[in-house]
Amino acid sequence: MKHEIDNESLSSFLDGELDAAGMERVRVHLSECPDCVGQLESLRRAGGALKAASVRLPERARQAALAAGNRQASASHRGRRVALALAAVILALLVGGIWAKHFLPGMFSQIHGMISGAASSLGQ
Amino acid sequence: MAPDRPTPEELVRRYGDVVFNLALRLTRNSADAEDLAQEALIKAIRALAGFRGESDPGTWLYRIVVNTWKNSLRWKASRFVRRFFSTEGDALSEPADVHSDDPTPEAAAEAAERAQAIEAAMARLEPDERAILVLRELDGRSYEEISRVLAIPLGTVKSRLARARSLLAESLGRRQEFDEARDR
Repeated sequence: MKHEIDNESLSSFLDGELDAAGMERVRVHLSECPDCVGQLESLRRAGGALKAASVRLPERARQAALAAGNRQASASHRGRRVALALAAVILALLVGGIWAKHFLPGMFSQIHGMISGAASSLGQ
Repeated sequence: MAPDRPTPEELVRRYGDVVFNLALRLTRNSADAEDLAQEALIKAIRALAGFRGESDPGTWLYRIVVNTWKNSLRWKASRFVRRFFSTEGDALSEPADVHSDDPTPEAAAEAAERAQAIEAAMARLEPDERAILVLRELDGRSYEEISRVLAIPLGTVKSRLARARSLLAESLGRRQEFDEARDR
């Protein structure tokens, strides 16, 4: 019998990856060709053997991946919290400074004078 | 509907074994495979926050495995040093935990022989042919998904998968003939 079906078509048929016409063409051929039926079955068994020989990810690698990945996630979270806290402190100082200058002008001038005097004495 | 973002635990539970098998077939060395699998999983977990579900999580993760492996090939000096000091050689060492609940010695011997036949076939395949086999047979990935993972055309996936399966079937068939002849 002339084989109209090549190995690639058989393999794609096995995975349902031919278009409808292709699937039908292979199906018809298989109904008449025991050799191709045998070849198809050997391809299927090969896949099954590979699956049967598959191994599990070692537990130490599993745990190490989760620990390292989660550690990074925690570090990023902590970093974000520190950045937020710092921003809050700076904002508080800014608001406090503006409030002091507006409501306590005398105290602000005194502080300004003290800083200027200290800077002058350091310059001498 | 876009795939949901998995948690790190879900990612490792669902894809960890296939990741390791993919790493094993790419590196053909169990120690290197464990390193590769671990490194790829760590990268993926750290990148999860940015995962937007534009692709299936498995496809995304397997692509990380393949790219991480390709990057590791560039470290030729470190690989040479590892091999120089390693006592394992290039052959696969015993698998850590094979998927089998059958404890009989006969079943274990049969599994070992089958593994040898598979390894003989794998030795004749290119890395991407081995990767295609793993992604198709162990995780049922479509040809299109495999094409995206390996960044190769769809037609190439088809032809390489067919070749890989044929070689594997041939190797297993020769093993079966040998066993039958031996048992007569």
